Order: sequence, then C-alpha cells, then structure tokens
Amino acid sequence: MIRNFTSRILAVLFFIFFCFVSCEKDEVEPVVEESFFPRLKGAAITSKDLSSNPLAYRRLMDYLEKPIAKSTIGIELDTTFIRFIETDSYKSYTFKIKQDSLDRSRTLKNFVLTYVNDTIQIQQLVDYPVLESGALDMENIVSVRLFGDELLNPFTAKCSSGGPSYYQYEYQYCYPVYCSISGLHGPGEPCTIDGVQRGYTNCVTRWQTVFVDQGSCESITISDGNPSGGGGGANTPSDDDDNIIIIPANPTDPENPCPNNSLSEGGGDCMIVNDEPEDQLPDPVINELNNLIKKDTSFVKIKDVVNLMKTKTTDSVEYSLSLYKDLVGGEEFTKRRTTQLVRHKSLTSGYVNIGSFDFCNIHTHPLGTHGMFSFQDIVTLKTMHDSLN
Amino acid sequence: MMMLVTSNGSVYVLKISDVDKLSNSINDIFDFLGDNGTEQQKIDFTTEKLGLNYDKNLSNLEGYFLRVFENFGISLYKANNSDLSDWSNLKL
Ligand SMILES: [Zn+2]
Repeated sequence: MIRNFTSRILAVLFFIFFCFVSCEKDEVEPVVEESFFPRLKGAAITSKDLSSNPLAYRRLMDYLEKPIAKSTIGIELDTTFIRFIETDSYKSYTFKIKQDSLDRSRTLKNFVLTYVNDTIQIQQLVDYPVLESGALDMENIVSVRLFGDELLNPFTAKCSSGGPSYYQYEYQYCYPVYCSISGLHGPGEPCTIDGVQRGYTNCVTRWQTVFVDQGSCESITISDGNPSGGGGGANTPSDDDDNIIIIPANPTDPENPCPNNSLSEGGGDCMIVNDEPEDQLPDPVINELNNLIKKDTSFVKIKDVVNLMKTKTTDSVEYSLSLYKDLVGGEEFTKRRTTQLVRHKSLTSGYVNIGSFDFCNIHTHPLGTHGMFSFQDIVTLKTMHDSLN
Repeated sequence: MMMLVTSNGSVYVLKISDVDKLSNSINDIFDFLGDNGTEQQKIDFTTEKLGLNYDKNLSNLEGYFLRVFENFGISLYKANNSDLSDWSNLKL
C-alpha cells in the first residue's frame, strides 16, 4: 500500500521514529509572532498632501492638467479623498474613479498608485463588483496593472504585445475571532456553557501581491503557470520574494470612508491596522490563562493545585486534576472535578475527565519521566476538545 | 487545554490552535503505523518512541518538542513565575 504522506508528516515521523542521534538543538525563545503581512500606516489625504511625495505629486499633476476627454481611457479621478498606505517598502495611494450612480451600483472602481522605495511606480485599476447586499465582492476583485510613466495611459505600456505583463492575485487573510464571555475562546470553542456562541475564524480577501519589476519585456514577464508572450524567464513570486510587495485590497469610496489607520473590509466594516499590530495584540491564550487564574478565587485555586502538584513530582505516581465549567447563579465558573488531586497507579498512567464541560486537565510528570507533554497527552487534548460543548 | 507540572517545577500549557491540523497529523501517524493494532496501541507505541527521543534531547526538550510538533496545530506556553501570572508562548 502506498501512502501519500505530506512533507510535514514525514518530518514528524523522522523525528519520532527515526531520529537516532540527538536532534538539532534549537534555542527556544518566546517571540512575537512574525507577520507575513507588512506593517502599515493608513490615512485619508487630499491631492495637496501628495506634494510630500514629489514624484507622485508631479505624475498626478501631469495627469490632471490633461483634458479628461483626451485621456485614452477617459477616467476621471476623485482627488478630494485619497487613501494613503505606507509600509517600510512602499507608499500607496488609492483614488476612487468617478462613476455615475448606475455604474457604481454594479462596481466600485479604484485606481491604485504605488511607489516602491520612492522610485518604481505601479499603476493598477481595481474593480470591486457589488453584491446584491450592497457589500463588495471581495473574492472577485478584478485588478489590471498599467505600465508606463504617465498615469492612466495604456498606450505607454512597455509590453503591449503578447501575454500577461503583470502578475497579481488576491488571497484570503483569515484571523481568529475570539469570544470573551468567560476567558477568551478561540475558533470552535464554546463561549457559553450551552455552546451556542463560539469563537470563529473570519476570512477576508484583503491582500494582493504585486510583482514589482518594471523593465524590459523580458523582466516584466511573469509566469502564471503558462508561458507568457514576453519570452522572458519564468520569474514567479516564489523564485524571488524580493520583487514582491503585498498591498492590501482596500476598497476606497469617499461616501463610505474608513477611519485613518483602518482598511475597508468591503462590507461596510473597517479593520483597524496600526504600525505595530502584532506587538499590541494580546495573546488570546495568555489572556485566557490570566482570566482563568486571576479570577479563580473560590472554586479551584489553580495556583494551590499547581503548588501542591510540584510537591508530588517526587512520588512514583502521576497526579492529576480535571477542571470543568459550571453555571452558578447564571454566571460561568471553573470548578474541580474532584476535591482532591487524583493519584494514579503508576509513573505514567493518568486519567482525564472527558465531557462537554471538561476543558482543562492538570497533571504531573513525576521525576524519572519526561519534563514535556507526551504523545498520549496530545491525543488526549484532541479528545477533550472533541467532547467539549 | 492541558497543563503540565514537571519534576523540575516547570509549568506548561498545551493548547490547540488548529484542530484540523492536529486531527490530520494524528491520523497521519496512525496511518503510517499500518492497519494492525488498535489506536491505543499506536498511541502507546508513538508515546514510547517519542520518549526515547526525549531522552536524547534532554538538554533542549522544549525546542525538540516544538520542532517535532511544529505543524500539529498546537501551541506551547510556559509559566515564567511560580505565581502563574506571567506566561510565554514558546516558539522555535
Ligand atoms: Zn502527560
């Protein structure tokens, strides 16, 4: 029988079953979660504010001096409200394209002008289809990149012949939404004892990647899996991450503005961003632990349990205690399943309460056993999770 | 969640961050171990094998654990004080 294992599991199998020599020693340090997404600042500005970026300002002024009728696409920009986004590597300006109400009822049209390292200019026309609900269809964003120095002039495209001369895609950005009725509860976990309210994962199509290179036809050629007309190399983003920037898909409409330092989610909601988002977000598990332990004054006394367990690790048996949620006077409390620690039969035998309300198990690994969770612990954790309301 | 008190006084918490990943990873191990044997036998076997590798990595058990279970959808926390008022999310 041939099994189709992923590389992920192969690595694990290697570590568990075939790692006969001491495996690589990685130093462990608590670190702030690395974000794949750029840290950014956002603001709403006007065309005057653009003067702080001379190149962008000049290009915009050149464009505005042209009679709109002569503009080859006939696009008129609303310059009274520009969404500005800044990251370490780029500055991006999103304009709403002026539309009549019928056109707007079908599509929101934006023009995005981005300067990478204050030099490379990227122009994009971005259309957001409007759903029946009036929200924007963030999963079907249509984005076209224009080339050339002049704004909004397709005939300045440096590579107008052949296949795709830009590469971009939107993708889902998912984040956990925690509920915090008692403690913080992650996706799938019940917030209330009846399990009606649960944490969940919210996904929004928020980001697009743009391949930055803008030179000859050869260097613009980007592979999207098919050979392109430019005849150049297949420079996919994965080949050269340095050429990729990630720009938030940030639908801009002066009629429905999002506050500074926030991005539109397309359905009327705005997501707050700031320049140090990861540092400022509290770790939900640490919050949960703090809530669990600090609010724990009457029923469990977790600190006492842990301190007692510490004195029991020299015993030749394992000790444990299971905690469950109970409603007391309409309020949810954590309680012990047993008043005393449960003393087990041997060094490694344990017993864990499994049930709709049993959300936590505390146990010892006595002297002579391992100072780390066992594989059995991991499986039990999963079983506990599956049985939770 | 699961809390562990070890003989050197460390207090760890193990928490699921992605239950689908955890489920798939556990099932992959069960699959790897073939069609013979019960699930509990497979768990015991893996627990024992993992324990042998813990023995070889005693100087850095946390790092070893994180490396092995990097893609299991679980996260490991450690209490920084005996008061349990300060926790760190351990990462590779
Ligand atoms: Zn254990």
